[in-house]
Amino acid sequence: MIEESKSIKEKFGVLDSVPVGACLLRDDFVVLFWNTCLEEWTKIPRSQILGTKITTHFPHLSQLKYATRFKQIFAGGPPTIFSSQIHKHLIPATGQDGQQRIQQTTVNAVPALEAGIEEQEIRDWVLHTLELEPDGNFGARAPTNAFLSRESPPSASSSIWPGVNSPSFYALLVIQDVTDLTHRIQAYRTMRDQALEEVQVRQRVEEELRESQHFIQQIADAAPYLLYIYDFTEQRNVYVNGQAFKLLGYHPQEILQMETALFSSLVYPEDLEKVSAHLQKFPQAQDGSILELEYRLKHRSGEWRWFRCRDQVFARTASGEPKQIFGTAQDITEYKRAEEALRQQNERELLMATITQHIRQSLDLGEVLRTTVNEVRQFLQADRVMIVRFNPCSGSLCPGPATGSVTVESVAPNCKPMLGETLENFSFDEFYLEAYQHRAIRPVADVSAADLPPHQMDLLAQFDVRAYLVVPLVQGDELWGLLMAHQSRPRQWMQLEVELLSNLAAQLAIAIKQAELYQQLQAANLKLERLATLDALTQLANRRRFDQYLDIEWRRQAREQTPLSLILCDIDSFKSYNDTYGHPGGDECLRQVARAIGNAVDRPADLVARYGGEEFAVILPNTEIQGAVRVAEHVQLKIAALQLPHAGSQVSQYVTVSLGVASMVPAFESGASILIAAADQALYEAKRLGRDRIQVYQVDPASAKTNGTAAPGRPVEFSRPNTNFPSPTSA
Amino acid sequence: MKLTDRQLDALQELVNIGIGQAAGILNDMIESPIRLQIPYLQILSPADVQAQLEEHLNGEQIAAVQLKFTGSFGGIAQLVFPTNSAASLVTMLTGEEAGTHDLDSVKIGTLSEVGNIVINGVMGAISNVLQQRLNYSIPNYMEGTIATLLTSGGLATDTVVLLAQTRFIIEKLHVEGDIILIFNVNSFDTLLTAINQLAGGL
Repeated sequence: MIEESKSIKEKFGVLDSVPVGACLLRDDFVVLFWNTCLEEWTKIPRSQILGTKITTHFPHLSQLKYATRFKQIFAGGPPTIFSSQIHKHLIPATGQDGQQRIQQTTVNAVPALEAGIEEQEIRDWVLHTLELEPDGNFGARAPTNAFLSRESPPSASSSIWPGVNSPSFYALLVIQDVTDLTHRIQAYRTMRDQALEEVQVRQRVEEELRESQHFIQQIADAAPYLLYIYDFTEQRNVYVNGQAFKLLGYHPQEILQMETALFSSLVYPEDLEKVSAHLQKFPQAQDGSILELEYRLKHRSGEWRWFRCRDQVFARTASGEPKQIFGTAQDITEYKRAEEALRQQNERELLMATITQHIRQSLDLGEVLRTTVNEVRQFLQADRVMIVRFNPCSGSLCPGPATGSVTVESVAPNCKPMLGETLENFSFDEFYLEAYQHRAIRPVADVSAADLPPHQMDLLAQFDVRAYLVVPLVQGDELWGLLMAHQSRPRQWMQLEVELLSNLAAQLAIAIKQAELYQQLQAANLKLERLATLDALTQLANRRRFDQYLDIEWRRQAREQTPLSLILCDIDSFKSYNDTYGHPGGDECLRQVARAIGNAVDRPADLVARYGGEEFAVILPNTEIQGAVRVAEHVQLKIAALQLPHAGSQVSQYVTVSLGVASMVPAFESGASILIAAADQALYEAKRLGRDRIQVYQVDPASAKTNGTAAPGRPVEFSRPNTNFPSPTSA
Repeated sequence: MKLTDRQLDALQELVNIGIGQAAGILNDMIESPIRLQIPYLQILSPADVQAQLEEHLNGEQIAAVQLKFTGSFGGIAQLVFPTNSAASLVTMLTGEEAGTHDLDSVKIGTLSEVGNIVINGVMGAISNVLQQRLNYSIPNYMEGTIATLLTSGGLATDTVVLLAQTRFIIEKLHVEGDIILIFNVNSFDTLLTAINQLAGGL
């Protein structure tokens, strides 16, 4: 044993110089050699381990998975590998950093010493074993060379060993520390795996991004409105979705290429200011707050379209200023059209209501027609709107109205009026008249293109009419007139306008009918009123009318504080006149006297009335006593001039009258009766003093004023009996 | 070269013994019973082997562990792992998921040792029969197509190939795969003589 040990030390001492662990085991697992490297790794000195079983130091080596394979070696079997990947280490040892050394071990069968194995061969085994470093150089080619080069040393033919039973092989363990290598490889693998994972993650993220971008793109393009991102600082759009083509006729790329000319290219000029103001709100806008605006954009076709945009701040600069604005814009053109139509509808209904109201407010036909032409001209913004009234057809042969006249007109200041014009041979042939009967409306956009007869062209040219609209006004079956609108430039009449006038014509026809009925009623009422206030015999105002008028005038003069005078006039000895000439003669006398009195009074405000049987009264508003006396004298002269014989009179051979005159400034406190009483008293005095004279009611001198408040004084005689020319100052 | 059924049976028995020993070792190493099926043996020309394996392996890249041996009986023993089997074995033995796109060091180390165990088992059985020590080179790991593996030994085309195909099954882990053992030798004469002697001696 000692000999063996010594010999082995000599043979294997060479392994002390290599940087690998090397140990030699006999088939009973006794350690025959333990190199310095292993001493250092395991801290087990050679002196302690040589000659002992290695399994006493490292019990795990007695496990079957090691023992079985070692036995193959002891039997001279092929080299055995204990890879670092599976075993980590064969002989546990810690490195300088305290970590377990990772070991790659190769075990060779080494013939027992007696065979005279050379040091050089041992060295070669070790070196060749070391060539098997797992340094990643395992290629398809390298091993081939290794093979060939390795062929020579172990192939010493002398090493064929007789008998399997003889313990003739040692196991030479060559242990490489591959810790660094393993760690390097592990680090590399970790790094590679991380890199791989990162690549995969990035690929996945990119894929997801692509997918999500694609997804968003699809959503964006599918949305029925414009989606855009406007760069606030660069003043241009940086994104717009595919709807741009559908809604504006431009591809998104074309919109982006408009750069800063975006607004000037697309926005309706009148809306530019509004858009600019809209954008100026963003610096104050909170995140998430949406600013809305409606404006028009130009479609590629040139058509203007209404959009309602909803914008919000999308990105901000580092300093917090708005950088990008994200917005949607919805095409609301149709909505706007509907809104406009509704607005016009409302306006029309409002106009109709207004005109109808005005029409109803008045039953005066003239006012109705004037209102109509004014309102219609304002609505149509026409140069002239007028109503032509047909002159009623005279004679049974007349098929339709031949002439008409402009009865009402509303005309622009710079246009020549047609009011009062009579339109002879009325510019319309029977065809139109027939059509008008059926309420056909005739819009003419351009006179020069309407193929009109020459005389009509001349008439229209005379009044500078380039376009017109004619609406018939029909009463029952009769064509009453025409409502006409004129324009001094060609004009395309809107359906809305035609409809409005059509409706209006119907309303107007009703109003005309009402007004005409009212006019007739007015006339009838006037007649009735006359009948109710006239005295049938004398055709003067009757007593009822006298009372009414006196009352009215009394109050009016009271307001104005002007004098009101009254003359009462009585035919002298009229009873004996009736007895002499009979009642028919009396009636004739009354008629003649009444006419004479009426002739003596010439002011419109003065009223002559039959006051009683043979008594007459004259109301003289705003007349002083002197004026009233002059009227009374005038009456007296007129009657004298009649020279009506009166056989039964005691004062004259002709019919004479006695007159009582009174005048006062009325007061509200008293009624007109005091004026009547005063005149009556004067008349009584005239009779008493002998008839055929004028007597003036004298105000009581004690009274300060000559008015209705004063008590009646004595009448003063103004005329003498049988005097044709009485002196007013005779009293 | 034509072998009698008796000779083939004897070779089959040898391989069975070697593989059985390898299975025992692997069992010890992975604490889960691993079963190696009885191999199916064929004696073929290199061209036939190539054709058969190319069809079997579908031309895929394979890993192999080679052991060259010389002596009274010389040649190359190779253990071939189809890609899927290699991956299963590496995962099972190291607990690491080997990348499938390259054969990294974990795979190389692991397959080298597995190949070493299986080949050593079979070589041990053979050398027992021969009662002669063979000289072995250090085991070698390589990758490539079946064509490169068969020609890498630099052997002449008139060599004879013993092809043994078997499967390993680890039921507990639901892992199984192919193992292909190729003996590329100049002649089986020595081996057959030894077998005959052994048989005759019985």
